[in-house]
Amino acid sequence: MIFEAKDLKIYYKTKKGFVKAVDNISLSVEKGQTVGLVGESGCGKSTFGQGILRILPPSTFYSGSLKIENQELLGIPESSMRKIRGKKIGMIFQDPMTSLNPVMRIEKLFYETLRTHEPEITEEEARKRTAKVLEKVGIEPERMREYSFQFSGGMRQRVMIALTLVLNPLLVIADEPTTSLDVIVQAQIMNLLNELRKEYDMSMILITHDLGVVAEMADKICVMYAGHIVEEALSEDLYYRPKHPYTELLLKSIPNTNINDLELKYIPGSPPDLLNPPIGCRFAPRCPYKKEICEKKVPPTVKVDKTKVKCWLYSEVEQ
Amino acid sequence: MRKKFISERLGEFISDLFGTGTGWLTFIGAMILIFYIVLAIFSPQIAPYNPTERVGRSLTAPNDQFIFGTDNLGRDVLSRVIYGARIALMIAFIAVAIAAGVGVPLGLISGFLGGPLDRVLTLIMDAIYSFPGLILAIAIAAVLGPGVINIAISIAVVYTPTYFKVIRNQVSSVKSELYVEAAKALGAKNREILMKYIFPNVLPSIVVVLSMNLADAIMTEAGLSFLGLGIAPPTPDWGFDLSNGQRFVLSKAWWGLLFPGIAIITVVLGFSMFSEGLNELINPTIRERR
Repeated sequence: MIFEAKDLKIYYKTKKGFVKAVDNISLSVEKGQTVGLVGESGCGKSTFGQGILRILPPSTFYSGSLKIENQELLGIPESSMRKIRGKKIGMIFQDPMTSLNPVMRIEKLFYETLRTHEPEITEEEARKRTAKVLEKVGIEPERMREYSFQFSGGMRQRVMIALTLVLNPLLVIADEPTTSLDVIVQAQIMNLLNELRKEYDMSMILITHDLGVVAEMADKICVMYAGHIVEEALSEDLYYRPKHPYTELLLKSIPNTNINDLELKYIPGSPPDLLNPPIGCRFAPRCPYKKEICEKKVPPTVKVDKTKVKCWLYSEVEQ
Repeated sequence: MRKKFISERLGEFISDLFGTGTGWLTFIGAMILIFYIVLAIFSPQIAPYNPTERVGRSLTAPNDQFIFGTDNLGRDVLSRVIYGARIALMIAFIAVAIAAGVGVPLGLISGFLGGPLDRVLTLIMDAIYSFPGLILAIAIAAVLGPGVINIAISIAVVYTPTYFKVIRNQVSSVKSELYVEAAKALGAKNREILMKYIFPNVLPSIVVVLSMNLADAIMTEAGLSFLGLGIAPPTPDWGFDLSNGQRFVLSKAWWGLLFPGIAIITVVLGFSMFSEGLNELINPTIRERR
């Protein structure tokens, strides 16, 4: 096991109280595995991704356990955490248009990044490694003399991927890496990510709201709702045999191109306020299968077949 | 490839600039500045007389020998105006250097760290900012006494908050940019983030404030020495000559007042025109709007 989060809580401190953006999440990633993390906006998936690197505002409250290669990350000093960032856990951001410093040439960007982790590296050496990794992502190495704004959106995301790969991390967190790109470029970037993940033997946590993307890429998918992981399943199981009502409704609301079915489906209601989440199951107010107990007690996570699901529907079956 | 790209852009920029009235203004501003800077550097070679010695009769009207006339002590006004450029530019540059040297780092730190330190620094800077500039400069100059450095310091105090505020606000917006976040995620230290990711991105606004402040600093310096708080008397200084000259206007000696006055006006105008153009050069959005 390369990465493990156990009972992870990440709360934002606000004047009104704690916003429970990530609440009791447990998740593990094996070596070479891709884990998809899906959910709608505001469910805490990006918080989880950034929380792993501890780059959230300093007032954020963490508890539980976060381990990379059996090294505990919560509670270690900032200086040790800096050595983890980039080197052991890399991150690819959502918007490539603004995630590269506009006043640095690409080669300088790579040099600075490499130097952070290998202070004695020479510019010559850095340039060689930059050229190599740029070639891998499909950018001519000569273009490293240019600035990021001279690249298109897709190219910039390639540069960002290269910037993450150059440090050869164990785990890459890709936070909606293709959301701001067009469909064709999306597919190219996703394929590239997948190939490089294999080649560099990395693990990946793919955060996205696009169920189609994770289906192809991920070995295992975790569905998040309002700070909880409500279902954790193998990709196939999740698509063909969804267990949690939320997953079921989420899958039904994917728009399709069938001419006889043009109506856009959605889940009525809206996600709960994470400042004061419902006492019981967080999905209960929107759930069509709601029972009495759902609103009173948080459901336990139970195993049904190969799937882990956090729902009262299955607990009774077990009993 | 790359060179061609840059030269193309430069050519486009120049033709853009001169296609509009502001282009010419910038050009004229730059010319005026170069003129005064040359005057300041080579004043011993250019000035016809020693500016602090009696060289003719008191209050001689402009003639072939003394193009700008002489003052009440028989000193050549032209030479004093030429040497005056030295003092004016020197004090202005030192003052602005001190103001930027203090204001910019404080603004960077304050904007980046935020929190209580930011609150306190902002409060102090706002307090300084709330004084009328010349009044504050007078108060500080009166305490410190005359001298080039002292005058420069009293002017610098007035302008430090400008740098602080501009930089602080820019930093607090730039620090939430994704590339700063990305640098953090790649393990960069705070100092690296501040110096390599944030500072270069706020630099353009400093340059513009810098050139505008130079104009202001020259006015403030002239104001201080006009009131007798500037450089000690025999040294040629525009502000002092202005106040000295206005005593003899009633004796119809207009030249003692007019020429230092013209010098102050043109140099300030030059700086203003130049900074306006610089602002356009650095902020393409302003250019687009015209």
